[in-house]
Amino acid sequence: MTDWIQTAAGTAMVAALLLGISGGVTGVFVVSRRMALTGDMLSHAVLPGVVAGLLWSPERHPLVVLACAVAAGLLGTGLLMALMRTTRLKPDAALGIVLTVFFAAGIAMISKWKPGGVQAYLFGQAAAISMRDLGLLATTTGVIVLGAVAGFRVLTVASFDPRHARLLGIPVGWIDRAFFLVLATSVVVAMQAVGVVLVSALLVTPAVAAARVSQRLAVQAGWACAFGVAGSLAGVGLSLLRTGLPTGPLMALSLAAVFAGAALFGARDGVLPRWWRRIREKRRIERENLLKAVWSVVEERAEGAVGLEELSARMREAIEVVRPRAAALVKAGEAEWTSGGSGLLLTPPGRRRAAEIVRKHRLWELYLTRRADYAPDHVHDDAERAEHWISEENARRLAEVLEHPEIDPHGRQIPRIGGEEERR
Amino acid sequence: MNAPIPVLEAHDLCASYRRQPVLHGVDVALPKGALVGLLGPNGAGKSSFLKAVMGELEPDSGWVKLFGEPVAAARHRVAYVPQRESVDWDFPVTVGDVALMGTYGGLGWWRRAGKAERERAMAALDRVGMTPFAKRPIGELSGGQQQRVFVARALAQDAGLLLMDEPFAGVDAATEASIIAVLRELRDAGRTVLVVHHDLQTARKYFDLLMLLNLRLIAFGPVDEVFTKEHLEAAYGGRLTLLSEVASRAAGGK
Repeated sequence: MTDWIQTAAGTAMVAALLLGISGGVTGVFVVSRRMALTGDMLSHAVLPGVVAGLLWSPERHPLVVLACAVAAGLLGTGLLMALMRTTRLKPDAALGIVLTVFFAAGIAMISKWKPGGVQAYLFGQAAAISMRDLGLLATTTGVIVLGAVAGFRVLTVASFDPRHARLLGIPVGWIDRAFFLVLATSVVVAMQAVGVVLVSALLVTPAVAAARVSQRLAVQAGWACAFGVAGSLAGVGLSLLRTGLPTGPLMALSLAAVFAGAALFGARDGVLPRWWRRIREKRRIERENLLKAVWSVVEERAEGAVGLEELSARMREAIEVVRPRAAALVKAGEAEWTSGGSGLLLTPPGRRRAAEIVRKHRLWELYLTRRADYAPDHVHDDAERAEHWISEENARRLAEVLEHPEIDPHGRQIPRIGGEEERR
Repeated sequence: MNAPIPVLEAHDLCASYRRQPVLHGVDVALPKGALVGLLGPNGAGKSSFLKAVMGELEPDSGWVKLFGEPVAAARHRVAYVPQRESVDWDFPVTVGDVALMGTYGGLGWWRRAGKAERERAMAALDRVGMTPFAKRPIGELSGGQQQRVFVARALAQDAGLLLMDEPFAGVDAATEASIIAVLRELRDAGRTVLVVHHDLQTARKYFDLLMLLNLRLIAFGPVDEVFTKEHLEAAYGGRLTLLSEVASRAAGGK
């Protein structure tokens, strides 16, 4: 295992795993605090610091580079604050200025002094990550995860409603500063793997993908980690397969693919869940219609069992279509087979449910004719649709409004529910 | 017996916002169990007064006491219901989460909210009729429901003083009435509610006491005493004809 980590591929894989976790946890807070642009600004503002660190420590000691980079990030932030205070620039405009100034300074320093190893920071090359880098990455990831878990509640309330947090005695200013330091650190440690410009992909993309799946911060954090790990491992994997392509862009693209997947399939309004819901609703309506058909045959003929042939004729559906629906009713305990599978007999729960649907149908017809001035021969089709969407509460209110009617517009009995079961 | 300690007391309170003096020598004492309206024109220092009460704005001179104690020692017993547009309704929290945030004060830094806190939050939601929404994201609520969630948070916080900054901006009349009903219940339970309010017509109906502010305290007291033509003119400068109209009607005891 330790041998494998020390190979270039192993180091890159472990780095991707750690980056996915730290980026996911930090990113969820970055996105919910609306600091995505700040993260982007930081990733550019630290470049002069990175270059200075590499010049100072040619053997690329990770702590030196980290310290210089974070210092540059803080300097950039200080400048940002000063700009907004003195010129009343809007935050996005001020961010734009600071970002470009620092990035330009970094590029100029690179052209002038050409420090070794700067390429990895610019475009991201996970293979350039050393064991020492990995140690630092593991430490920061550990600190971030521990801090997020232990301080989750306080950080959430300080992010959501700082004023309330202050009233409770939570030191919001210090929490903001600590969060900023964590953000700057995770930007710098991620930079070697993904590059200056693409750090945002690690912070923002998994978090916004997670927001498609859940609307609770804690759950989002878990998903963001999973998405971050999946995307960055895929990026590193692709980079190893197609050697020559840098990891940064591949990670950013894989993470974007993960986001696309979440947008398509996420529980909130993804395509797949919606499709699944529609199918389940269709099944329910089909079953309810079959129950109703059985019920009405029984109502007319006053006998218990109904043949599938007759049902199929009544519902104008092929018997091959009716049979699996009947099987679903039997499975749900709402009906039993009779005469070896050629007929259906409703069980007491099935009878009750069928009566409920027929009741809703007939109440609705009556409501439309009496209250909405529909002609009696216009109401059936509307009720065919509406009966599946009237809740128990709606039905109770309908009955109340109509003063507990017994006969529908077509002169048929409206079944009663509850104490008095209908007679067969 | 000592006189009861006021829930909120300001003495000769002077404060500035962005170096601009906005409050001059405000003397006021709110009793326990009162529904108080804070009225005044735009820029009169209403929000600054609330900030001074919450300890966000350091007084230039004078002082504020909460429950007879300095602000810093007692502000955890103050609850603030934010203005609707200042809340990030896309923030990933549920109604239940927000109510639970009221209980965080007693929890310290690292402890998680336990069963007792959860029960307090649910009881608070129940009192404002929001229990069925506990699992909903806050972004899915209507205007009145949003206000009630934050009132529930104040209840869970067990705050003795509730501050609301224009809670009725952009809510319909029925919602407004239902929020007022909740606030009256709070008052009857011995809590003091201070509401920044804009509408002079409804202010007479809603509140027990009024605070009329325009950089200085123009008047404070029972609604009928405050609602005089002289006071309203002093507060609003007689610029608006509507005001003199309302004031004359008020003076007529209508």
